[in-house]
Amino acid sequence: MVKISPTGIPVRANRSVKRWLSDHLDACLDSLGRFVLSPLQTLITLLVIAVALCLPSMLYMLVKSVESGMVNIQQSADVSVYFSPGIDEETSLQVQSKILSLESVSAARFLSPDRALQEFKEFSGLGEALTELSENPLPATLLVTPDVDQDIDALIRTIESFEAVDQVQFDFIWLQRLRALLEVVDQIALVLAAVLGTGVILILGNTIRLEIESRRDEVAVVKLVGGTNAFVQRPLLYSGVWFGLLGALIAWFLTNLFAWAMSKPLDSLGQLYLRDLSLVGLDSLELLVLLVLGIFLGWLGAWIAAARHLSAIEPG
Amino acid sequence: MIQFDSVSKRYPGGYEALKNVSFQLPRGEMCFLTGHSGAGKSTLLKLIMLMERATQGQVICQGVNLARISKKHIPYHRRRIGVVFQNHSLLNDRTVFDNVALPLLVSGAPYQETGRRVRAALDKVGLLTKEKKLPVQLSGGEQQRVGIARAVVHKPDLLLADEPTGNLDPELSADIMKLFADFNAVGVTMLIATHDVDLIRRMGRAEIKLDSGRLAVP
Ligand SMILES: Nc1ncnc2c1ncn2[C@@H]1O[C@H](COP(=O)(O)OP(=O)(O)OP(=O)(O)O)[C@@H](O)[C@H]1O
Ligand SMILES: [Mg+2]
Repeated sequence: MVKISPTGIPVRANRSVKRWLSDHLDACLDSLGRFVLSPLQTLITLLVIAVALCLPSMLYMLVKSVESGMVNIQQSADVSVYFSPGIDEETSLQVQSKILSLESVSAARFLSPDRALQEFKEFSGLGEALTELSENPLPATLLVTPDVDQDIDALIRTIESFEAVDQVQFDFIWLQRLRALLEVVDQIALVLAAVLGTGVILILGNTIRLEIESRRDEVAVVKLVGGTNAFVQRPLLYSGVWFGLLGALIAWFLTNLFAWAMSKPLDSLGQLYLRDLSLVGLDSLELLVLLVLGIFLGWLGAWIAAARHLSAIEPG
Repeated sequence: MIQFDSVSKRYPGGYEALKNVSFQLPRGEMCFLTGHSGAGKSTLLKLIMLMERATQGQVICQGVNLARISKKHIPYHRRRIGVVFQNHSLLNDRTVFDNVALPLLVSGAPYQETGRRVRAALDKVGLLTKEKKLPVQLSGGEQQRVGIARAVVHKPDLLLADEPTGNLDPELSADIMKLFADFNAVGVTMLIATHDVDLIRRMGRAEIKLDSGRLAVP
């Protein structure tokens, strides 16, 4: 089957699927083979791409790891609610049920002054000394466990507005701050990814442009004997895809290397603040996303370069 | 096969390389294109290859008005023509075989056919034994013949040549002309631009002569 153009020229004999595949395989391997021709230049380009891809992915990994560490802590981070002196138990229990009915609260445990003192004795290790006290200085207390991921500041303000409540204390306010900080880092990672992704496109665009320059004569000859733009650009696009794929693989390796190298210092940091804080390397889905992103950026960079510079090369 | 109707070509700088040129080249002819340096021979061939477009008049090639061929379809037009252009010589990083196979490769010819046709073309120019060599390992005359094999490998009806014997000695030139005559004998239409007046006389073929872009009487 041959297609005829409006002018009467046969334009394309339909290629079989097998032939189509084999043409693409040729271009694919051909472009990889060219890497060997200038190994140093190729390696430098690959490293530049890898670094550009691994910076945002490292930040992403950091945010992800700290966030999962925070979830662990927040489960044990209660808000202490102290009742005003002289509030009777009945009122306190009313407040407890009001707090329990709040959406952002998952549990609220009531401690009578006696119980509070007892727990304090056990916890502080000052048991003996405290028995000397003639009067129990502790007020009745509610230990409120907020749902994970809730706005704790708002919760505290709500509880403080209850009349019987004297004071609300949350020891993990720094957790809130960390969360806000993480959000900023997350944004930075996004912006960085956008900027560096554009960088990857530009780097590859330039690499492919140089490749086109160095093959100027070849392109002209191929066009003279009837090669289409698609034919000339095919190996170039594959070249971009290879750069992107290999760059992303190196970035993945670097990111996990970073996770491994940071695991020790983070361990000691974790003991100070967050229990179970460890850098979780990229999982297979994230690796896939990274590879697909690398391939896409590489292809796009090559495509832009080909579109801009190939059609300008004509035999003549 | 080729028809020029009052064709003019003005280059972007304003220089008019062809002026009101009309002629017909019937199918199966072998014709020489002559004229002084700068007369417009290469320009005329470039118009046929759509490497340049006529600014006036129309060029009809193989029954198709070239003005109607869009940029996208130019490659398909070129596949129907064989060319030997001096400055578009061989790809130096590919073997003789791969160079000759190029027109078949770009048009997606079946692989089995490719091997057979490339060897047939190389056989015709007497270079069958050199298929694995690189162009730099060949003499100038041999390289020129590889270029000719590349021009005929896909069996075009029309063959254009721009100074195919440019810097070859008379003996080699004669060889190549003999080769062209052989192709013509099997029906290929040929248009050959050349300076080599002696050669043309000896061949006794039709001639189109240009003088400063105008058709002149030979
Ligand atoms: N791309 C171009 N832009 C401007 N002028 C051009 C261009 N190409 C050719 N010319 C001019 O057109 C005229 C004809 O050129 P052409 O190459 O067709 O001559 P020719 O007959 O092939 O000469 P030669 O025998 O030296 O190869 C020349 O004067 C040349 O300077
Ligand atoms: Mg010329």
